[in-house]
Amino acid sequence: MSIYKLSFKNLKRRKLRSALTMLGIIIGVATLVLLIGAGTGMQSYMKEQTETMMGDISIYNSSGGAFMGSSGDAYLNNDTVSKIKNMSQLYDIKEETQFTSEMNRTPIYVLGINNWDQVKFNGTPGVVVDQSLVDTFGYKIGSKITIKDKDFTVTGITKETTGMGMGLVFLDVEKAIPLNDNKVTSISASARGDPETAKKDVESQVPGTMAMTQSDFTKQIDDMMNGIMLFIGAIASIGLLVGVISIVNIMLVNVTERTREIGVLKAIGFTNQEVLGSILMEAGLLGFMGSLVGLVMAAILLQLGIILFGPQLGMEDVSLAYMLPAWLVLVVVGGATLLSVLAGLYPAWRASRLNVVEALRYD
Amino acid sequence: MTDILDIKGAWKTYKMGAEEINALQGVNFKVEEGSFLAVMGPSGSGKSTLLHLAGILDLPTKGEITLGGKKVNELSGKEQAHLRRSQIGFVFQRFNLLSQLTALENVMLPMMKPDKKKGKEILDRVGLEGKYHRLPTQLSGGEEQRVAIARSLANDPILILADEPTGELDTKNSRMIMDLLTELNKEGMTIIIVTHDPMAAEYAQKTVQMSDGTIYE
Ligand SMILES: Nc1ncnc2c1ncn2[C@@H]1O[C@H](COP(=O)(O)OP(=O)(O)OP(=O)(O)O)[C@@H](O)[C@H]1O
Ligand SMILES: [Mg+2]
Repeated sequence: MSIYKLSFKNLKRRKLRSALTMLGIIIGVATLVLLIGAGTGMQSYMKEQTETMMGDISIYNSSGGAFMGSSGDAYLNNDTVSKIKNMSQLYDIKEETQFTSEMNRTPIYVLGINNWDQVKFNGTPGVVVDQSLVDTFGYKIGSKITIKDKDFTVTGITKETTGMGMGLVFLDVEKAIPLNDNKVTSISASARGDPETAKKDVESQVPGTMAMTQSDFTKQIDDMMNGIMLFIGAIASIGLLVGVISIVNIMLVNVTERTREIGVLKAIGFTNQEVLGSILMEAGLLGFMGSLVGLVMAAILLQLGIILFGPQLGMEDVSLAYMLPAWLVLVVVGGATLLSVLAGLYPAWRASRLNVVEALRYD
Repeated sequence: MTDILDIKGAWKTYKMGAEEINALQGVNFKVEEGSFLAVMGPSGSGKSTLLHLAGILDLPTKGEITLGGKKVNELSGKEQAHLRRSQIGFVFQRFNLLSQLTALENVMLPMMKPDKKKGKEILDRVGLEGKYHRLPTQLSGGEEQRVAIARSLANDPILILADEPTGELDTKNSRMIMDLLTELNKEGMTIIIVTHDPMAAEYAQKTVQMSDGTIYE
């Protein structure tokens, strides 16, 4: 029976109190892991997508590119596209275009794509409509639809959405470009030699263009996500901090309540360090167990999130391992445990300094 | 006979604001190995204070204490704790068992090396065979005090100190506890008890009287 085993027993002795104290840590850790985990998952997923889907460089109109609701001159026009296609540094050139239109008076967003791997859908590539259009018009595979007076046959249905109440249609890019007056949103290409050089060449030789390499994209994703995660991390840490403060509080109560017991331990011959250690251990255990429970809760919620929202974001094949990388688990569990031990320092120090004779007299 | 404990010119002074209380006033106290002493005296005469010094739970304001050949004043706090753990068994009026631990766990708590077999043997010896796994709340006062005595024996001490060990027990249980201490003394253990109870004091080989912080033999 070592004095450290006593720490476990003490936590067990006051189960409700220990559980309530841990609750603070549990909620703090769960929130932190949930937010950071979701962010990290998105970040790795986006980066991976960029790397697999995108060529060495992507080229846009220098105004920043044409996206939803852009005006006509935000696109790359015919002239520009052919200049890019003629550059010897580039090969494997793929175009994409996107524009808004209407279908039976319902606004829709049309994405002309060349890589169907980036969309999750049922059916075959070619003409894929989203679930909202299916629900509104009762389309199924084989139905006829009309976009800008052109007729198409639906070949597939996707769960992805614009998230803005607009219908979404994916088309083969060759079919989509003529619908958009032959204007292109972006061109992705592989580069002979250094992508950075290719990027500079494009921008200098083709007026009105802007090019981004894969690493530009990854950096942009990192910058954005790191900023967001720092912010939400800071907010979620407040929860953890509250949990840690409640450990200080409860350990002070515990130590005061057990004054006589601590006196007995010292009278029996345990050293001040051993008494200090056992209280720190108790505080650390609270933090460690709380953070484990919080972690498991966050993992469950994240998995639930993947199942519920994954399909709409086109992320249903994201695995939990993306969201809970080893570093996050270690930092959070280690951090929460360390903070809890620190929280135990003052109560433990008070306990270790107790005068034996006075402590023995305590009721 | 060698002296296990030698207290020379011990003063203990408590400061309460401007007031000074001399709980001990130059006490000289020698305890021979194998003896069984009872300390008696009126309330507030300094009996507990003396016992605390004997068990290194406290240090004198002035004076010198030698325990088992070691000068206590010269030891570090850590060394004092080790000496307490290895050489002294303390028995309290209020038993002071750890309520979350079973009888056996309480006995094993001070052990340097946890030894279940030895723990059970000690409990058998104080007449608690079969009650190893009872919690203190599941034991009578007399049984609790016997567990406390068993705990004090865990590290084979050279000295057992008991502050009013029968103070909270009825006559029958008091006699059982005193019989047990007498038995231990017959086996060679040195024992000092502080008591108000003349019946308990009768068990000792010798009784010393205290009043106003001094000893009268
Ligand atoms: N921490 C303290 N601060 C101030 N005075 C104290 C303190 N501890 C003990 N005293 C005083 O020292 C004197 C001796 O106390 P002690 O506890 O040794 O008496 P005692 O003989 O054991 O009495 P009792 O029989 O009532 O247990 C008493 O006057 C007591 O009030
Ligand atoms: Mg007393």
